[in-house]
Amino acid sequence: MNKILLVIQREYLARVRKKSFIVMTLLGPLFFAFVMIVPVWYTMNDSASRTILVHDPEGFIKSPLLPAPGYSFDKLSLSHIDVKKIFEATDYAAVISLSAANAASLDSIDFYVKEYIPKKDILFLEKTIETELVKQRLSVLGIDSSKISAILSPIAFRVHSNESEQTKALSAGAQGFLAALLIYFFIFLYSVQVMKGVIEEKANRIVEVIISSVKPFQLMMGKIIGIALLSLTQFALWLTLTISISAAFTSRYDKVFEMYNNQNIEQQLLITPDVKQALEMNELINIFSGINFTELIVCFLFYFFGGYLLYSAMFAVIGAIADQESDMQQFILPVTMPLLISIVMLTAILQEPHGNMAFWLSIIPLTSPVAMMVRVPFGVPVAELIVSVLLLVLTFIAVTWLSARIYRVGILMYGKKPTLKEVIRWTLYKDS
Amino acid sequence: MILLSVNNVSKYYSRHKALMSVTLNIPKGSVYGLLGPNGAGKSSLIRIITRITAPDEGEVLFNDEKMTVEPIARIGYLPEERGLYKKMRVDEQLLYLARLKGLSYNRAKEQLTYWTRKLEIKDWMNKKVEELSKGMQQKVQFISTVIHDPDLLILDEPFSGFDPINAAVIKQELLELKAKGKTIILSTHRMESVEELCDIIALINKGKKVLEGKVEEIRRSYRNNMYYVEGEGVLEGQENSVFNIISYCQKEGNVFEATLSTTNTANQLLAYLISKVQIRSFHEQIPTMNEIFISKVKETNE
Repeated sequence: MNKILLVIQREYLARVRKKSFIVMTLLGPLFFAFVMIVPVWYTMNDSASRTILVHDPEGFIKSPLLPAPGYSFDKLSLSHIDVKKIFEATDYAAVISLSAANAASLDSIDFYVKEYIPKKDILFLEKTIETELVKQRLSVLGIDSSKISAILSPIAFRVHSNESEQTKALSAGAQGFLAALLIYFFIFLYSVQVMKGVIEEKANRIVEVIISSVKPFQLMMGKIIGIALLSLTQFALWLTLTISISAAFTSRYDKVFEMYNNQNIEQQLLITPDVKQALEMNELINIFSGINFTELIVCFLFYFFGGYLLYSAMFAVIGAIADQESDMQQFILPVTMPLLISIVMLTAILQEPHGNMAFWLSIIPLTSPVAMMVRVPFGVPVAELIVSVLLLVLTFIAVTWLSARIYRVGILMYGKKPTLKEVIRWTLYKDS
Repeated sequence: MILLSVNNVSKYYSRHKALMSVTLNIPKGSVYGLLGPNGAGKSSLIRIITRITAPDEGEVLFNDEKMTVEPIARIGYLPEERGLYKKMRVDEQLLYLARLKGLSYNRAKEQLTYWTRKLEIKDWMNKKVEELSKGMQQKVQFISTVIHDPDLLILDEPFSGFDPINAAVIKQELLELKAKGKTIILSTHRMESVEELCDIIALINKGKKVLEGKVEEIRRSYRNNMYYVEGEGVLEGQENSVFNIISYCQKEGNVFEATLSTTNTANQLLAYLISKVQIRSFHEQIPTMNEIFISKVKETNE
């Protein structure tokens, strides 16, 4: 037992110190943070800061214009000037000119635009100024200001549909898709490291020296567990770094999240220039807070380790029987076939996460790590999870036992590629 | 006293029999040569002794006990196919290998200091193996075999791949280890090192032991009354009943070299020769291990 620990320690330390590990660990979170932040950032920074000059010689607009996000307004009250010239001579993004004798006779507003202003912002300005002028007209007609506010009080147009259910399904699909891809990627990434380790030991001819001190099974398991710990370290570092990067980012936008959450969204809808955007933000926040991260992460870790242990044992065997890189390729394909199949079936599972095929793929141990991860966000019955997990564990034990028997013979064979028949015979050799 | 005994060990692979009922007894403190041509089954036998593979029949006893995990730690094994972790530091590598043999960290550290001083590679401790010269790597490899102070050393072709200087260093170390009472099994097909180092040999061919015994005794048992003589005069063409000429070479200045076989004693042969020629040199021609090896292998192959 002590020897397994020594092997684990060596395998772990040898890899954790590698430059490639450190680089991967640092780049990973940057990538994740990038993926998470960019959509939010994009939505936030859609409206750049612009200043608009409002030419209003008659003072139609009494109250300050509502501060639309990203816009500020300067007022110009001088009459008898050429607004167009001012517009050309200054840096204002746009100039709005309200020149008429009185509010009632104002039937058009000139809007000079220098740089691109999104259509929705123009609509918003139009709506705001229109409201102001309507107020003016109403007050000219002698209606008092409290009545005016009552008349003009905003009406929220709320759509009720099944969209939230659809949103949930969409969100679950996205989570499942991402989790499945990640699990596929990681199983591959770390299992291949096991195989490379075995090949390295074989190529360096150190394996026989080691095998005279430890049992092949101990060496194989030590390597598999050492690399499993490596992956755990990497996950932990990635998670910590990603969370801290995202936290640094989100703290800057805390207000935004607060503005658009479920409690405040109705308030926000009354004053927002862009109802659609506000709803999108709200939806995004709801998707995010609706994810059951604990369940997802627990399932992810379990299926990752289950899948990794299963596949790494098989990859160790490939390393043991393949003497050259070229042999390796032909062995890798059949072994990874189930993984590839589950990835190919990904969209089919997403379309019918509780269908027959999805069910079987998530029960069969070789495909279950990927297939079940797709289904987990949609809610999988506990019984199915238990069966899938049990089968995965049993298969892992069986495969490891078999792998160890091939491995112990394979690592000592140099120079020639064994036939399948020989490999089968190896499993029957007497144990030392 | 027998340290290691191999009793009727057989090992079968799919197409051939690697070992057929091989029995060896290796006395404590001896240097035991395991000889045989390539593919004779030496490596298979060694892998069984080191418990890397299991015999199909027979057993291996260490100190009269069945080989278990514990004695394995008392064996130092240098395989024919040898190597090190190229990207690992020398000291970490040796500590790792020593601790795999069951040494505590502190004890491993002590041994590391001792051996690296002795073989003068102390300054290379924190280098990676791949940065070392071939000769240095070989020293590291040797240290990895002896660092846990084993009672039994099993060296498979120890001098192949070593340059002559390192080979001499290793030979010296082996002699010192022997003087300390360690038992050494040398597997080789290089006969010169056998005669220099081995006390006892076993010859294996085609999976069978064909010869076993003390080197001196074997050589003596293979003596065939052949004598080498160098002298002045002419020996050839003299018909006599004392000897037969096996080879003869007449050189410049009336000098000859000859190999003679006789049924008489050395003294009788010498007495006859003295009366005929001026003798410069005379000795019995005992077959070398190399000659015995070749003739024995040929014989069993027939």
